[in-house]
Amino acid sequence: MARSLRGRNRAGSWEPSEKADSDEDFMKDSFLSGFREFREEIRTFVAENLPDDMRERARRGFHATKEDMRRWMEILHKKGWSAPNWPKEYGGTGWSPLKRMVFEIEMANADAPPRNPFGFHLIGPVLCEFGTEQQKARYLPAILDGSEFWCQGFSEPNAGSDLASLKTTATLEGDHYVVNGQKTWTSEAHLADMIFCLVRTNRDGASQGGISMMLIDMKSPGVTVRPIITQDMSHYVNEIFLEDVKVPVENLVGEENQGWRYAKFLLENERTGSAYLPQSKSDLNRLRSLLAELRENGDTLASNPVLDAELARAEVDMAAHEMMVYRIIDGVTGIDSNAAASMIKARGAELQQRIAGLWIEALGPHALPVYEDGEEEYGIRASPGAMSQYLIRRAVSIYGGANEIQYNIIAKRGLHL
Amino acid sequence: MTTHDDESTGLALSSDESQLQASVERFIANEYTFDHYRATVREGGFNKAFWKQVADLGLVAACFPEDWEGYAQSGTEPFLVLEQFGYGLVVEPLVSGVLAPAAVLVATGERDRFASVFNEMMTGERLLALAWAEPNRRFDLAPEAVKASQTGGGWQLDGEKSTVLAAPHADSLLVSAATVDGPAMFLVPKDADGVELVTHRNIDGQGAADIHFRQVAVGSDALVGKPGEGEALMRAGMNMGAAMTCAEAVGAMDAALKLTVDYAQTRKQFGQAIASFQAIQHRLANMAIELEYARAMLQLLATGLFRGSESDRSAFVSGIRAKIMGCARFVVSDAVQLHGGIGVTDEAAISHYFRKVTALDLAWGDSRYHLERYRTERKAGTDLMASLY
Ligand SMILES: Cc1cc2nc3c(=O)[nH]c(=O)nc-3n(C[C@H](O)[C@H](O)[C@H](O)COP(=O)(O)OP(=O)(O)OC[C@H]3O[C@@H](n4cnc5c(N)ncnc54)[C@H](O)[C@@H]3O)c2cc1C
Repeated sequence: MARSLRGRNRAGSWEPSEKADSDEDFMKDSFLSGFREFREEIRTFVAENLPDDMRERARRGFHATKEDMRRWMEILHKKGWSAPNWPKEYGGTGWSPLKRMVFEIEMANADAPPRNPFGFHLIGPVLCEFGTEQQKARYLPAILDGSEFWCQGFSEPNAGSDLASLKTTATLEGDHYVVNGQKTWTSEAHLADMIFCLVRTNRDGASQGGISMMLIDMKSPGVTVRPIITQDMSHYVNEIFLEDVKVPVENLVGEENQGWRYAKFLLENERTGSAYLPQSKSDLNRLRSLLAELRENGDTLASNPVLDAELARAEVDMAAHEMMVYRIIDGVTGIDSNAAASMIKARGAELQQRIAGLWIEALGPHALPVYEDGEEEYGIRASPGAMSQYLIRRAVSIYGGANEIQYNIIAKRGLHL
Repeated sequence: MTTHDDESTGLALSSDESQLQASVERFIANEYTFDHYRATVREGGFNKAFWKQVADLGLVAACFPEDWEGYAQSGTEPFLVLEQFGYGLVVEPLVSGVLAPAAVLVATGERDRFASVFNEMMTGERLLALAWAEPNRRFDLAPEAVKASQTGGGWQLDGEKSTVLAAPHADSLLVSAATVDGPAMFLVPKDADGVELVTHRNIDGQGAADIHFRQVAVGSDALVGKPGEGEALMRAGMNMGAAMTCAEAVGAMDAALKLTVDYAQTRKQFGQAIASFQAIQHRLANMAIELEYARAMLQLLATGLFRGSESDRSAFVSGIRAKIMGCARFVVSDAVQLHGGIGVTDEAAISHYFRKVTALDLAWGDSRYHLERYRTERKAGTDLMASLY
């Protein structure tokens, strides 16, 4: 389609210097229509390569097992798709952010298991950007093929929102650092081979200035992992005790005392990824089919006008969120990129919570029993993971920067207050 | 770091669109000052000289798609113009007096017949008022209170319309009326015998009128479309009005947020600017989020606006409008709150944005009305994004 070829004429008024090719072409294209074949390619790939048992487990809505995450990474890796966000030279795809989002949406739509995000999504890009050649060679391939799992050691018992107040220390002793302290809320630490940590290497001066980022082998002597059981009665997060843990100097990321810079780079990736768009879109589809399936008073819940109005509202908000995410990853909003990432993080979290809230309301009392993952008898189809998701999703507006912190960022970076 | 192998996505404005945006922005900022706005409202809500400038600059033509003889490639151009109209509190009826009635005429499929009307609209010589609302019928588009019966040489209209936007400034009225064959639309000269206007001013300064039709005789050529089509034609007008005013609402929200941020940084209480209080900052942050979400929705609306069938369009427009007007009401309400007492005075600009958004909302269907229309008319299995995929 010919874009508008309008120009200014002598009188200073607006008129086209040339007409569009034909009426046939009028508004047939959109910024997404170019991805039609690509979407089809992804769908076909997943249909042909995702094992049925894995798809079934993903649909149930419990946390993915380590083995499922590993296998799926391995399968994607063979296609070159396991870390689409990385530069091509390191095994990424070179796709635009928009194309990557389209990819993730199709993946979630097809009930593909999530991938361990701490490797490919968080530390991977940091290593590509700031890592040494040796670090890249040692860690990147094992993230790509799913053979090594990572976790994120930022938060501490007294350093949550105020992350820069963290107290875990690393002291240089010859060719290694000695690390002491405690990390908490560490997701998937019990599955992880490696952890990337923020540690204090300098106790003088500004709190952000004395922080370094380092990579620690979870099998190092002195690392103890203890489970924290969340309200959905599952084991996802952990506390980690670090006692005289020896970390080789070559495991320092970038320069000493520059860790805050790398952390900010990583956290911005995290927040943009935390718009939860792909997951939320498939959650909404699930809500739709749940309402069509569940019954009350001789009819399906889809014909309950109050629930249907909530579904309609969620659909509208989802479309707004989707457009917002596209605009932000494409950089067309004109607002500060930090503020923009905070906007979709905060609203995305709320949307996820709302949809999960509608799932359990639709199920009513059937949502109440505590099901363990893997139980075969669920009473009602599609129900077992719903309560689990509802409960754990209270955390999405807390982790990765609580919503209140996102509002602070928007006020400061977006509105200059 | 990352190299992209894709072309530009088309989400950003083209350079032509950016130019249009910049020139409307400059034009409105220069011509439509707050004082100019207040004077226009005092004089009845229409300034002929300003309207001529709008037309001469090609801004009406920029809102008409190409198959209506205009220049717009998508909804983007009209939205760029109307956003600035909302930002500047422009009361001249570009939507109610031009774009909404034009959509009715286009929906007849008889474009050639109305080509001269479109041209006169684009040159600023003609305004039409869409007379559909009837006493105590809210958004019911099927006419009842005005009836049209066939006479020897044409039609006779009797009955009453209420709160017809743009009527005081319009040259002719596009009237929905009940006939024995169902709803129909008629183009009636405003000065026809038996047409009586009781004009008033709406809260946003726009002129409107209640209209009585007493044995109004018109020729057979007054009929627009066919008897029985009237409701569908009106729906096209309603969709266009509902869509276009979303852009005005976004402009108004934008201005309201800016005014409020400025105010919060200058107003001092407890020895400091109120913007230093976190409770205020978080409210402003949420207003900023709602504005951006409304903008995102407006872009979706622009992309799909002139596509598809009218019935597809209804659900599409309604779903999007439900969101945008919800955002707009949220933003202007908080904007007034954060101004404190001054916010509810006629003197304060912010109250005019509050009234503007309220008027846009009620005139073309508020958030709840459109959510219900979206809910009942959406097709199973498609979502609002479907037209883009
Ligand atoms: C399920 C889950 C998984 C997690 N996974 C990880 C992980 O893998 N790795 C990791 O490092 N961390 C992880 N976290 C930790 C998470 O990032 C922190 O919980 C988060 O940063 C908030 O810190 P906090 O819990 O100490 O709450 P606090 O900081 O104590 O906040 C308590 C409340 O006070 C509010 N508040 C705090 N400061 C301000 C302020 N300045 N203005 C206004 N309000 C304020 C907060 O918004 C919140 O509502 C996880 C957390 C959860 C719950």
